Amino acid sequence: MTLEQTVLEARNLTKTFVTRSPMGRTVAETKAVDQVSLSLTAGRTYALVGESGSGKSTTGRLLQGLITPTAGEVIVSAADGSKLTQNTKRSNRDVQMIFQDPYSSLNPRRRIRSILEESLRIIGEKDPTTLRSKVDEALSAVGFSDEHAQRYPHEFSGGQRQRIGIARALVASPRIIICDEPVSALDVSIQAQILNLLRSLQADLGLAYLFITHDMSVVRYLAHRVGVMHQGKIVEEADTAELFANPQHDYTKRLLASVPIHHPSQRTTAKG
Amino acid sequence: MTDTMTVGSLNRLNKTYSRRSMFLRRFGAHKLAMTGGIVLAIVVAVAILGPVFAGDPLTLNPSQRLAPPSLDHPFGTDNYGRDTFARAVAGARVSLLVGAVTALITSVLGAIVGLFAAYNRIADTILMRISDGLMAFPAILLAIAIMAAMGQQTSNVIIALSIVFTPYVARIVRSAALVAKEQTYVEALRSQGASLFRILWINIFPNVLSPLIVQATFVFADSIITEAALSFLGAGVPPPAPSWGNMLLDGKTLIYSAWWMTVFPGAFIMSTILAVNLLGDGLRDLLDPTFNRRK
Amino acid sequence: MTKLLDVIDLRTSFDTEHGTVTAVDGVSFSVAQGEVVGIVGESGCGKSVTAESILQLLDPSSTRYSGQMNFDGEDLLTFGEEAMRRIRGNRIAMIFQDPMSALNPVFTIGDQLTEAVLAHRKIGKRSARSAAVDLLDKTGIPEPERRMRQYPHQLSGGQRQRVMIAMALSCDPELLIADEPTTALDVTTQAQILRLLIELKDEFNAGILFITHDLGVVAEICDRVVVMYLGEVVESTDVHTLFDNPAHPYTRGLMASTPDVGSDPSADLPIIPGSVPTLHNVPSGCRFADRCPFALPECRERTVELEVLSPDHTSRCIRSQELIGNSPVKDGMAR
Repeated sequence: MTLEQTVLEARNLTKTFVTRSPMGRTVAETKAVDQVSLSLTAGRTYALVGESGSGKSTTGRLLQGLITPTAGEVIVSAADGSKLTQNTKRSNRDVQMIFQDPYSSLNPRRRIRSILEESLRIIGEKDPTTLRSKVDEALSAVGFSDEHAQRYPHEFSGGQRQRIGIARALVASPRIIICDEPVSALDVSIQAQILNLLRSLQADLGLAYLFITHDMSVVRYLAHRVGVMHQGKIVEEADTAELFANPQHDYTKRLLASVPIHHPSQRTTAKG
Repeated sequence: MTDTMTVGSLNRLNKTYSRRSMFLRRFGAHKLAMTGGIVLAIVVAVAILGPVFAGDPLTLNPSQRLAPPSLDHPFGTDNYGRDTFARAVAGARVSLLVGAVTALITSVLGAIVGLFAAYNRIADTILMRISDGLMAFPAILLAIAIMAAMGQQTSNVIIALSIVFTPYVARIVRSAALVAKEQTYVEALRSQGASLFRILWINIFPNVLSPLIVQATFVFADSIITEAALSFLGAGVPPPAPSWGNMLLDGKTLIYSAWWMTVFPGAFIMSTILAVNLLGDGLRDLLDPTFNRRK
Repeated sequence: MTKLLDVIDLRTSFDTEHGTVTAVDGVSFSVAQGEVVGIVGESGCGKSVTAESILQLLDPSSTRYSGQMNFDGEDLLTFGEEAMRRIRGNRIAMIFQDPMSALNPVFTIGDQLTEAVLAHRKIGKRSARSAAVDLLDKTGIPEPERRMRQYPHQLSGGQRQRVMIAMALSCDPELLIADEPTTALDVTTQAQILRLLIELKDEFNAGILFITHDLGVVAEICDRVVVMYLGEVVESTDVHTLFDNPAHPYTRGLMASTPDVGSDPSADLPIIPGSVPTLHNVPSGCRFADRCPFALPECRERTVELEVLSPDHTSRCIRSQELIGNSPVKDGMAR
């Protein structure tokens, strides 16, 4: 896997949500994503930061192909180097997603093995031996054994479920993973486990991550490049160290100023 | 790291029981559901074994007309001298058959309609307006109208009742599926490119099964009552075939002279419906994962 | 400072299908007037149950309390339901994590706030309404008059939380219990709400019990901190001592595993291995021993009591004395 290879490119993505009255008349139009361009590189993490409603999650869903853009395009470079847009019915296996809520993101009525096999069946894998070996491989990559595969989701803790969610994305051998706030619902002591896991998987498999988050400390630790979203637009984009050292846009500055402090001596809000 | 994880989950493992044995344990502890289940099992056993010990429900015996309960005829005889016990047992067969087959048909149709309605807005509008239309009629009137159009036959009773009750099942399935559909795992499946069939039937369906089973037991009870009412009004199972409704109709004019003709089939209807409803209420409690977590 | 609330050896247990669990197990702490006390810990540590126990908000049929909760000299646990109702939302107010579900969606903000004011003050409807506008104004909501006529869904998350704070303040409480009030909010809004709480605390001279999982929030607003793990207090001290000299391995682990500006981006984050056990499987001996990089064999053999390290610093660890004074990041937590 050559590093620095662009695996996904978004050009001028725009998504407008239209609210209609019961009679079908357009009541309101909201531009959730406005002319967003970004590119993801193999082995690198691009963090998309912003507050709720800034359009960062919608951008993630546009890149994944869960929703279609009003304008603009998403180009995924396939493993053989050919470029695919949504129009050419690209294979979903290249781009997988990890979700925020580890509880509702696993089907409560299915065993772990069958949840993971489902990812492979969707992309047309039927051979039972291949299914078994690929699921085992993905489970061991996130630190689980065959014994865990026979259990139901409710038998696992939040952090363990999140690792199962990662295995579900990995099992399809993707090249890009869209991580939508993957640690913000987890306990502090578990977050570090998941972040370390994501980083070691990236190093081993050369994955490109789009990391959607509102947590600037996580960004600082994990991301190579950062895009700051505000009201549907990317207002600033820079390499991580550069962004933290030298924020340009007012909103970025405000965001950095609001990051929780790490010692009471840094207090600005109250008397000491 | 992995070692401690495994220890943690093994501890958890020892604490959890398999779903099935857990369900049976809780079912045994739920007194009402247990009572309902036992009574229903007795009625079913009587219906199945009826021909072995009860006489023929159609044999006329004019010399024994309107005989009160005795050792020969424990429930007495009717105005044609037919054995009321044999007729009540045979009637159980008809009622349970109508109830069970209707519950089965409405469950299948209701699941299909409900799931598609939950997933497709246009299908939802069309299917739910049709079901609104059907639900606007009182169940019994609609059933009478359908019977009048199709003719008096036991199979038509089942068809009529299925048409009447499918909308109720479909609504329950639809609302359960709408909840399931909003879960992130459905979004995960969509993001991986899963087909509609795969999402609906392989992934959402298991999550609507519990409310579907509960609703099916209520349809079972309702169809037994409605069948009895239809037969009582002369629009159900055609005489001389025994059915609890027919027996009530026969006994109506003689209620003061031959009480046994009405009381026994009435008691059968009441205990069966009560049993099924207790079972249904119990299942609703037991299949609801949020119920009983804290006693 | 006078002790406003003094909780001594509080134990809260629930009857569940799998037996009795003790969610809060012998917790003691106090809150003084004008003081912000933080209870920090992960899910399942009992911090929220502690908060709900103070107001006795848990299902009475399955919950048992023991210990003492002295509020202004009287033990709240000896109060009946009627007496507690007079305390709740009157002398002790509570704000929650999710302001949307705590507001009634079918009434306007004005209706609900006026109602809250009327419940606590003997004044007419008109003056109650203007008092409500004043309260909203105090919480820094722009255009309070207009907000009064709006419904909860028309407000942003931060504005709803301000409304909740206004509602809590309507009774002029002596103690405010805030259960993760900023967890659902964006960082920029979180900073504003924390600032608001501090300002209002000074103005009303109330005590605040602040429940959170976020050490950053603790560093920002708390005066004293109680760290909880699996139903027990593991460390308790003032905020500066906690951050300068954390004595319990769990506190140290929490601090080290939170990425911050000082984390080396090329190295793995230090982690606390494993996950929090359930309350059904509370380990014997030290409850943290299975996840602790400093655990000795004897940690698992006997119950560890809170050790007093200095007059205002307690820690539930036999090795506290060795740990104190070393940087948590260098603890060599397992990978």
